[in-house]
Amino acid sequence: MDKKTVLTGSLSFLTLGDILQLVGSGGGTGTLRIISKYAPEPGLVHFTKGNIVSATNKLLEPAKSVGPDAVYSLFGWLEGEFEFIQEETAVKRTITTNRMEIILDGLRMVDEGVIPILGPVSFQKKTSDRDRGPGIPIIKGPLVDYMYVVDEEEFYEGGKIAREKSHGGWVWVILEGVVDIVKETPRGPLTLLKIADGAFVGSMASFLFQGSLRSFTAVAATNVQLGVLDSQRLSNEYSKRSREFRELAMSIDKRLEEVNKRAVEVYLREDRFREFIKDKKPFKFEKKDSLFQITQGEAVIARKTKHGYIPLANMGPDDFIGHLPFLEIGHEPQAASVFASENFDVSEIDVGEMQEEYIRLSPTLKNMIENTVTRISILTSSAVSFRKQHAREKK
Amino acid sequence: MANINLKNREIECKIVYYGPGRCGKTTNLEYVFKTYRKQAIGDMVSANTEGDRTLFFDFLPLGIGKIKDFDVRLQLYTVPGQVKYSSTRKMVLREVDGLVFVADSLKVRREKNMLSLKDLHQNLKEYGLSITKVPLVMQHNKRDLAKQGIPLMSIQQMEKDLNRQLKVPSFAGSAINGRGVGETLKACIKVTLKAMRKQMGW
Repeated sequence: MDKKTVLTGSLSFLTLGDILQLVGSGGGTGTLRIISKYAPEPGLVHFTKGNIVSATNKLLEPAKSVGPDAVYSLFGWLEGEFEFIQEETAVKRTITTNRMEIILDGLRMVDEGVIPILGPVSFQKKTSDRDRGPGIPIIKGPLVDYMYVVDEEEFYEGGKIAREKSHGGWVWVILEGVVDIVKETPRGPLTLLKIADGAFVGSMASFLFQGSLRSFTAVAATNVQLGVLDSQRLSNEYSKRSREFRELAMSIDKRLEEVNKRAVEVYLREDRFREFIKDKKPFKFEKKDSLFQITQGEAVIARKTKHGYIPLANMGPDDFIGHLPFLEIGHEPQAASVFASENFDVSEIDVGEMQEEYIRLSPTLKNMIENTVTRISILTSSAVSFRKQHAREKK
Repeated sequence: MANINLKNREIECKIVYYGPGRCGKTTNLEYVFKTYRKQAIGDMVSANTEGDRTLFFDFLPLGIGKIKDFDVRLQLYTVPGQVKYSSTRKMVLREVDGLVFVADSLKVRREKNMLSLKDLHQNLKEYGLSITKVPLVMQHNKRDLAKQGIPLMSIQQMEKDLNRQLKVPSFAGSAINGRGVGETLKACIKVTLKAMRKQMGW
């Protein structure tokens, strides 16, 4: 076949997606050259009988400059000229992906900002994800029960859903997207948790007590769709549970609060362990797998690490300590120690009964409690890793 | 306008499923692909756009026969609803021949449906198309959820909300178990081919 240019034009009229479809449905064999004034060498896409077999973009690092990454990157070239040269190509096949898949994926990546747009401002960096640091796991929840969703709300990326220390009784469930849970600290905002689909924004306390203060700021990390939960219905259901169970739920909520505060303290390098355990002695559980309610006195829950004890929660009367077989908190008795004050006393609680009540909860309340517990264990490990990091920095 | 491929003697006809996020566009298409597997050409292509997947496949419907000795090849697409996917949406809606608007019957999605329809109207306008003229059918999806006690809108209400002015053919559907899926697509092909015939003066 003779080598000849059979199609030329401007990318401002036909986009790469259109050209790939056009050449593809025409069953063309040859090379498509994309010429941009921002790139020293043209981008190349090779076709055999309408199928994309290879591509080159010399702007990419050598390992990626030939193959699928190259063709995807070319979707970011919005300005320039193209020409299709009909010729027998002898290039090595580096792409086996379906043409349409390449087009849809390429456009998706451009829309999501994964593929940079080639132009004079291509040095523009995404700063938003940088300072957040890696290592924050994203907490997801189970499927959302729509029975409890009364309305939907949408927030764009960066939008504030709830502000720390503001009043608010709404509880949301995330239908879609990622939300950052941020604590204000003297050293600037600290992202403690990332939560996503199925997780809850707002604590159990927020629907139970009118005018309770938010203990965190929630910021939409992506575009987020939230479901507003029926607080009335939730608090009705909650109020039908036994007193012990309600206290247990509140105590779990309080523990999350406490761990939250402690994690921030550890982050700020405040070591308040000595202050907390003043006049307290290690408390030994008589039975390893029992659950207790504090009747009087105070207790401190702390985890022993290589870098000393890390206080996790201060508990008081009516709070629960011990082993919850149906919820994996990851604290005492196995993974944390308890220090109790002089006058400390507890009464044993029937775990079986609590479990019974837990099982009978509606999925939404159950998910909320489960979600709270997951957060406690993740915040605990965050606190531990903050301490580790500080110890490493000291060296 | 449909693409006429002289080389393969085919008329390529583009049908796009539009609707609010998670209304069941993808489920519709997956069902069509699964059920009419033999008539599909090549694989189903899916791009994981946030919230929804954007799907595409080629489809040769049987029983339509040839038009002027040309085969009809359908290209079925779903469109990503989220605002940020503008280039993807642009590519998908470019030269669309027929549309299926999938509405979500959940009560809480009432507003979402109307916004999405308005959105479609806007988007079509950008390509010089009018929602009142483009071949369009509607599907009120997720009717099966009524059995689970989830509050749904009545068909009458949905018709009033969405179809009062358009007056396009509409179908109750439950894409998850295939009810109404074939009907909707068939009706859409019918109005699309009718419009094409008129346009090309066959």
